Amino acid sequence: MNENSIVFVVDDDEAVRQSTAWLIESIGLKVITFNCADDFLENYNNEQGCIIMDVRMPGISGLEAQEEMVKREIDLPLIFITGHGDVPMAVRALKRGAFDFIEKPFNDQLLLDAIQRGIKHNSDSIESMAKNESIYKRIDSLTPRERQVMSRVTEGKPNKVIAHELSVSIKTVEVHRARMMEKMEASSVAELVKMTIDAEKS
Amino acid sequence: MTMTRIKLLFILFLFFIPLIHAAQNESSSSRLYNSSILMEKQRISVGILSYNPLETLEGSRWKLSFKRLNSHPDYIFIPQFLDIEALQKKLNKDELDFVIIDAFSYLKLEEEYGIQHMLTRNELYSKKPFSLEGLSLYTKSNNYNIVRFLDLKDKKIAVLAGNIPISKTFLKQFLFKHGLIIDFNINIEIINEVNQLLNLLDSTKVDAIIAKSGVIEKKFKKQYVLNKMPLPRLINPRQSWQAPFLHSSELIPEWPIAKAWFIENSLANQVASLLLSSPKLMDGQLINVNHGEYNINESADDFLEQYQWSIAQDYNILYTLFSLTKNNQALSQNDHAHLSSQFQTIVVYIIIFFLLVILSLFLRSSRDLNNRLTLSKQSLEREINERQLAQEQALSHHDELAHVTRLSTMGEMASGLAHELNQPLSAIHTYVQGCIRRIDTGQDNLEEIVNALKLTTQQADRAAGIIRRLRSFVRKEQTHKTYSDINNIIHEVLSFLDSQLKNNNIKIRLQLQDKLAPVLVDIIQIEQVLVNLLKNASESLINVNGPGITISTKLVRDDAIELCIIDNGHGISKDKLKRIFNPFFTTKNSGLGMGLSISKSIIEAHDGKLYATNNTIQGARFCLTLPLISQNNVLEGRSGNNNE
Repeated sequence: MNENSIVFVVDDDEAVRQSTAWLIESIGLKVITFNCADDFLENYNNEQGCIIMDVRMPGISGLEAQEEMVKREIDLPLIFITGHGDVPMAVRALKRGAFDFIEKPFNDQLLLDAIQRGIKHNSDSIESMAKNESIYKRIDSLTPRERQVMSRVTEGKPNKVIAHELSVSIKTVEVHRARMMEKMEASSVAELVKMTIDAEKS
Repeated sequence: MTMTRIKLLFILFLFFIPLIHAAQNESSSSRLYNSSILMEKQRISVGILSYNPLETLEGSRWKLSFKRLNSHPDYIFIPQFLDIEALQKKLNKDELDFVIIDAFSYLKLEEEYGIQHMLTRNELYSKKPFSLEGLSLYTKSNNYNIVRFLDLKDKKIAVLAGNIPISKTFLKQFLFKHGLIIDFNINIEIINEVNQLLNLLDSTKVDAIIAKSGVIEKKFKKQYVLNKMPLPRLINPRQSWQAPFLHSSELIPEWPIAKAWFIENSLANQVASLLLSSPKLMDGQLINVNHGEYNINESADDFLEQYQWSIAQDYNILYTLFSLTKNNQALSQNDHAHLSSQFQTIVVYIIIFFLLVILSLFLRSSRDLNNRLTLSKQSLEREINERQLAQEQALSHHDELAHVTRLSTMGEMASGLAHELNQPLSAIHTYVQGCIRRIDTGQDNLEEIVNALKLTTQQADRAAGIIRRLRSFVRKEQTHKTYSDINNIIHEVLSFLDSQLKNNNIKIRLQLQDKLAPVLVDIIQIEQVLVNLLKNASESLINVNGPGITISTKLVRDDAIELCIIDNGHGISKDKLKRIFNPFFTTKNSGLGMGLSISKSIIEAHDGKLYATNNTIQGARFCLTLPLISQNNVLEGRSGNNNE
């Protein structure tokens, strides 16, 4: 788990906010509290971690804040806490990508587990994003011809067919192919395919 | 030319009705009026639906009811016999204070003018009162052409006046049931008198007659029918345990007496208790609840023909019984025009006759005035005592009703309260869990843990406070008034509704005047009113941009405090504004419709007023006034208040 992870707690009720922070600090995590979603959105500066937010708050509600986070591309796992455990609201929140939905008063273990899963999810996704970024870089370094060859190789076409399609000799295809594999740092076609799939996913 | 003269005379005649009434009252000795008392009394108009423009109180069965009403020391109740159009016209101008009308017309007028039923009239059958009526359809005993409703098509029918609205609905109803609704092809003639009706049937001028159930049978039982006509045959006879008579139609509630929308509940209550205290019949004998005063001059038989009153029936049942939709009315205008033309010729003679009667009565009544004055004084004193008793009773009911409504308000607010209570509970839970984890894992910074535990007890106190407020709000206790600062009550109520208002993003603006003199109120009941008004306001603010409620208090005319709750919501439509204070009137999907009604009666019990208006720009405004009591009492009250 990342040492730099921060748990953001957003709740309008001071007692709930402080007690939640008190609980989370007991497992050694850093907590920052806000009394409304507006304050959080203003002060958030791309830190890692996760966010715990009340659904019903004066000003922007939790669900509205969730929308705003999507707009601003804030990719923190969002754990909703609510005193009114109504199913439709929970479904709505989860469908829009909330990480978890926990009812107040919460079971401490449940909340802490959710937080830890959230933080892990966050750091995992940051890691995979970094990985993808390097793949993008490699793809960017390819010449147009090499890219054409790569897309056909990942489709499983033999050199002969590629040569025919691109109207060049087999020899030329072989040269492009070797250079492309080198630039992509792929030791086999299987690895190359996996890379392109990962890149496409994100 | 003659028409205008007749109309003039008729108006003159109407003008004399109250005089006849007053004069007759004096001569019949039980209720006496000195003309000077009569002048000081406030006049209350009571419209009575009548299809007979010549009807007078003396000849009618309302006599006893009005005798009871006019025993009131402050008001004089004046009956006005009007047809439905005239009633509507007068209600539209707010010229009638009370209305007595048949059930069908009542529903219509309730919808149009916001009148509100109070009591239902009872008719006596075999000396027992019944508050339901039915219609019976008869044909001649030897007429076998009509055996079913279906046979009535293209037939001529006579209807006893006074039963027209129900008769028409009834006929339409079964025509509809039998698929004959295409056009209303039944000729209906309206007749005023039972004997005339029977004669028409006997002489086969009509094929069938419709009358109120039981009336014809009563007539025959008493052998009022002279020419030995056999009892007509009842078509579609029905019997039910609710009524002692056979009937052809559904049973519907008897006529209600209703108050106009602007009549205060306090006056309506007084009217109701006067009418309810009419003599009751027990074991076939007339037992007079009020010292037997009516036994002096009138025989029990006369009473049997008088209407009595009982607690109001449910009139909405008509909607289901006759599958009426609102605005669907059985009345047509033609009947009334037809009716009045029938009488125009006799009017002149009868007016002259009545004028003579009045003259003679006045002469008679002036003789033994002294004698009757002492009598009247005694009976008035007695009346006042009785009324006080009745008012005390009404007051205790009022408290109970207030309590029940508080409970129901609490029920409606339950989910908001649950949330409010959930917050400190989850804080307590979380603090304690955090402490346990720290102790378990050995991060025992004692100072930190003690601090967290202190915060925990604060939350426990917070939860207890919520429960305490809740309990005091639903507590059932005798009204006890203390001198209290109205602004404090407002703050208390706001803390109570805090979470609900916050959740709806409603901004509260306070414009409270400082240093207001304390008002003598029952705090819980006033809180109940405010909770109710604020709840309504916040519900009217759903889907409003920038929802806000302004609460203001100020001194008005140095003798009262005015409190206004102003919202910027959707406001109240004009027709609803007349009816929102009626019991069981509600525009919400949930809720009893009792909130505003009970709020109004609470404020009136505090000698104040509660009224609603729309703002000029947007939203509605509910204002209540509470009177300030004199300074001496205030000082006493203050010291009492400090002890709390």
